[in-house]
Amino acid sequence: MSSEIITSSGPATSPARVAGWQRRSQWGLAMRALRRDKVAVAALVVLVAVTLVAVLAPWISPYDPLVGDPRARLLPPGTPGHLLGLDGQGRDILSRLMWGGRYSLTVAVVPVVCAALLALVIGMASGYRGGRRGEAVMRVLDVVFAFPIVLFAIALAAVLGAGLVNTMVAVGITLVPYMSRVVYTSTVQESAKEYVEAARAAGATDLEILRKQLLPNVLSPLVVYGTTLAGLVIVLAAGLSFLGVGITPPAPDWGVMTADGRQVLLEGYAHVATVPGLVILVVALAFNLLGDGIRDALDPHKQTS
Amino acid sequence: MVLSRSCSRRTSAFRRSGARALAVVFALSVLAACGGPGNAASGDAGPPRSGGTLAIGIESEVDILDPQRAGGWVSWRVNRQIFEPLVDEDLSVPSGQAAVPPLRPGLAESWEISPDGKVYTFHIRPNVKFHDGTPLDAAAVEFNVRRMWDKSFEFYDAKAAGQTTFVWQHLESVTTPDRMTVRFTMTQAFEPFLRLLPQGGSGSTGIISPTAVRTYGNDNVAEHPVGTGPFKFVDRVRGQRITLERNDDYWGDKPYLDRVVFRPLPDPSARVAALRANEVDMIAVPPPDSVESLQQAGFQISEGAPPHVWYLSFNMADPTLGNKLVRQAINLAIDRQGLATNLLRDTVKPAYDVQAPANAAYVENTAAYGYDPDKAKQLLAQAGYPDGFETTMMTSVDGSGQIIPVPMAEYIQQDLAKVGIRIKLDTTEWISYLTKWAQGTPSGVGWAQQSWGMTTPYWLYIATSSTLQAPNGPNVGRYSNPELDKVMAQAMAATSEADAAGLWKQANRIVTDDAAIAPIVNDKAPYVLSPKVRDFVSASEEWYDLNRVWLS
Amino acid sequence: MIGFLLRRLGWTVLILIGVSVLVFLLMQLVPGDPVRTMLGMAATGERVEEVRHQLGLDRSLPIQYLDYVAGVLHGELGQSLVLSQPVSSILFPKLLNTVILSAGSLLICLLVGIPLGVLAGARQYSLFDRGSMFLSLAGASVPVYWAALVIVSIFALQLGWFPTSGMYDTRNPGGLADVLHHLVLPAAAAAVVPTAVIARMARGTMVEALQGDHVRMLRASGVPERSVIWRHALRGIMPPVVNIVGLQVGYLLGGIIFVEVVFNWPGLGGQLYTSITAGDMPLIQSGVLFIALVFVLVNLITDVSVALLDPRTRKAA
Repeated sequence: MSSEIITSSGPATSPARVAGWQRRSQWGLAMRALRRDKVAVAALVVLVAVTLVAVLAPWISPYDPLVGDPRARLLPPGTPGHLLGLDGQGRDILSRLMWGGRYSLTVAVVPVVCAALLALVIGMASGYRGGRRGEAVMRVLDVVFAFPIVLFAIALAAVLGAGLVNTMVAVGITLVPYMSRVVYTSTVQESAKEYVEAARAAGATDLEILRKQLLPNVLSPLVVYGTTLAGLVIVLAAGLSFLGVGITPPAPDWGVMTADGRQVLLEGYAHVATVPGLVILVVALAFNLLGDGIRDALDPHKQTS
Repeated sequence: MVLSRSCSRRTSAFRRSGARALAVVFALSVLAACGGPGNAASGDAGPPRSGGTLAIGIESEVDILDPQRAGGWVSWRVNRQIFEPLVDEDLSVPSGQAAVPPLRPGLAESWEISPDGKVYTFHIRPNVKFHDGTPLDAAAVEFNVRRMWDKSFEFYDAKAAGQTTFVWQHLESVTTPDRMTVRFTMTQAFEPFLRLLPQGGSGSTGIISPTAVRTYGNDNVAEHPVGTGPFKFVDRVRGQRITLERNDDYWGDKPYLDRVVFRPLPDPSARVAALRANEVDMIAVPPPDSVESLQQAGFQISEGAPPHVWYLSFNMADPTLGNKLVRQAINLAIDRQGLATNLLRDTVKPAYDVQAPANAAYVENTAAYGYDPDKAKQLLAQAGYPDGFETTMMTSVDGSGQIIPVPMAEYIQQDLAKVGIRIKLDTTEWISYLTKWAQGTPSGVGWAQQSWGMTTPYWLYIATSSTLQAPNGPNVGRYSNPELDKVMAQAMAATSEADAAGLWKQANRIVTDDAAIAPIVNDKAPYVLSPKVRDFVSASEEWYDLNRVWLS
Repeated sequence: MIGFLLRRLGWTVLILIGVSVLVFLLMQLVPGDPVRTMLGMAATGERVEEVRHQLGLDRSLPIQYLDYVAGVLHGELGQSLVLSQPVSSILFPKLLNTVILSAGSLLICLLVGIPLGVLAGARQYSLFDRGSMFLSLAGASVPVYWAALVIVSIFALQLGWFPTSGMYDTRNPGGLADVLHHLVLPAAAAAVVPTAVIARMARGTMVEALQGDHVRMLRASGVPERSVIWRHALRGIMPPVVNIVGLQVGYLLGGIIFVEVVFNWPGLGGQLYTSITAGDMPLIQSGVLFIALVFVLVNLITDVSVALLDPRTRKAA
């Protein structure tokens, strides 16, 4: 939800630490380190499980997520046949959560991946031998930094209109400058390293250097960053839905569900907002913890220790 | 005039089931401990007392305190306390006693209408002063009318004119035969005119002090609102409060309250919380699910039957919705009673006519608007859609009078799915929605939803006249029926209210037969009041008077 | 130092121009029509055109933009289209309210975030470290509007310690105590996310600082651990922490819109949200410029203080 989490939890120091490592073994070592990190493994398990449930929702969800029984509204968790209770339209909350993963996870992952791809192009193009031109591109992106991220996303969402695709576009565009900055910084740092010089001396073309030498090293901070971002984006998208410029009802998106449920939160039906709120919390947390885990795994200090 | 009657006893639905009796007893005992009975109408609170500040939590920010420019019911509810029109509605009569609020003299003490219905002569009430001391006279009224209507006038205001177009559309000239008489001459008889004068939903004809307009200018006068009403403006902190105080020189019944504070609380849960925490004494538009628990906590519910219709305008240009049978089927496939009872907890009534019941032309038509999914399926099959079809419904996520539009749309979505009609929802935040709605239903959209209505049947003309098709006017479905246009023209030119009502009823039937509009529910406009608020009356209007309200 | 300052100021001006152009272009695309907003549902197309013309909205875009810029250069922020009031008289009070809320939040962030991070960092991998970091991550993962409601229901409704919303008492408004009383809950709600960020950042830099040669030397020479942490290591981590705090100020100013909405705090965020949807161009332009200006200035102050704390950055810049 905050630009500053985005700029802060970026692994500003990672590329330097990672530098000098043999890139081929780097990912292998990282994987091994990651496997030892119990918290990260648990986070990964949660994410995989949630994804599986979302994918399998049509087969495993007990009820239709869009059709409810209006005479059985707001029944509490534990109601026979409805483990997590019913929402304001008498729809089964568990079924909506299962289907909702399709929206919420898509919103969390797709914009981040798309923005990451764009950021790789922009960041590497301006970072690798970009010189003043590259710096100028970064300064242009500064304009967006000066614009509060939430307002920027709201303005974009207002321009594009509500809806799943538009929300993803709005969030994706918002992320590009931040991710580009990360790629740019590590590209500049890596470009100055000896192994790049060595490759060039050996007659590699710029494209080859970018692809074979720089990309793997630039990728690691981006992966860490992107994983953390996915957690934030879920929360940001929920906020947009809350303001009515995000995903549109009756889609069982978790953010939409929380926003719906808050109307009855103080009326003794706290579960309607709390259950999806907790799911958002757990998934966002899992993304964050996984991001931490990957960062630690890529950190040579910790791999050796 | 029945002044000391609250409608809370009449309409509040204390559905006391056995299981709830305990809670009610508990609530009452708490109240007794507080020293006040739970029902404002119970009459044992003694005679009205003067003094105190009434704090009202309102559902959105008021746009501007310029009654002629301001749009929306929320603004008029505040402006109405400061400004008055020539002819007013008597809002001291609760809905149960008057389906349509009777007209009463406002700043005009009396009036005459020429037999041909073209000339209106108003006699201005003597000895009335604006809050700044300016005396009210015919010249002041003329000044105000010219501000809304005469493009050549120095203080002509395009925004005020834009809001009040329909009131003054047939006005040919305004004259002041003497110091206290104003005469309007119309180009044609225009029967709805008197009922339009006290309207306030989109612009109003509330009279502003000409001195204030001259001093502050057309734009700035809204920051220095000066009228003749029972309350005077004190201050405004945008987003926080508008404070009014009693006008001790008011010509009519002077208010009991010292002050009224309107506090915008757009978030429904925040409104309820503020009421529970005693930060405000009364809130508008409680979330339906909160009403019962608020009642159990000892709060009073006041409901009325304002001229409100939550309706769908079908897109006549759509190949499917262009088919009358399809539209009729949709009307029969929606369980209005279920929507009102299950989702909205009876804070609304199912709507059975295009006009609201608070309207002289209301005709209940359960045959067209009742719930009959089997017949709906038949009609669909007959229209060539035995397996239904797919379309889009436009609505807002919030907004004035919209109640809870998205859950309501979802409810309709589920009802229609049962007869095979699959709808996608296209929801937009209110202000953007207003713009989008006014441009007319785009292709691919089956219908657009809106909430509106007036105590004059003339509203039907605004919503369905073929000359007012979007984007030129609010007929957003671009419905057009020459027969209807003819009947409505006759109704507007009628010279008696009874003749007019008959013709308007005929118009309603045409619109119903064509199924051009699907009325869904009529709001009861519930207000929740703390037990100490007395004699608040919900009349058949979207707004209320406060000069008879007092605090115990 | 002066060269550094001048260069940064130059960029500041360029960035502000960039922001204003971006906002202007973006807002042309927003569907809300301010005239429609003003005139409401019953307005006829003809009347809408009349008012559009009166407001100059039928002119070409570059001319509208230049007109706006010319106004700003003369110190005129123009008039709100929808509210017909000078932009400055609407925005300045709201900006002030947002600053008050942000300041309250920031105070909480600093008082909670830094000690939490430092303690966690000093006891890396301890139960305290893991627990507090997990909590702060969770704090950053909660939808703010949901958390805000929970806070209201506990502290305002159940316990009755604080008002539920708003900035002043409804019946007897006024006074510093009144505002402070209303400030506590929204400031706390707004502080959740940035506190988490600051704590995590402080912890990270603390861990690194404690692994440095400098600390090893201090410890070797027998300086007590408490002094190592609170005197020496803390000074070392100040530059990055000041940096991140500066960024949080920017976030608070623009990003607390959700808190403003839930607590009905009459700030800039909520106003801008309404104005964006209504297409009220002059208000949006100036509002965003305000935020951008404060944001850039805070960054500038941050950079200068970091440069003062750590001379190495000055040379690098």
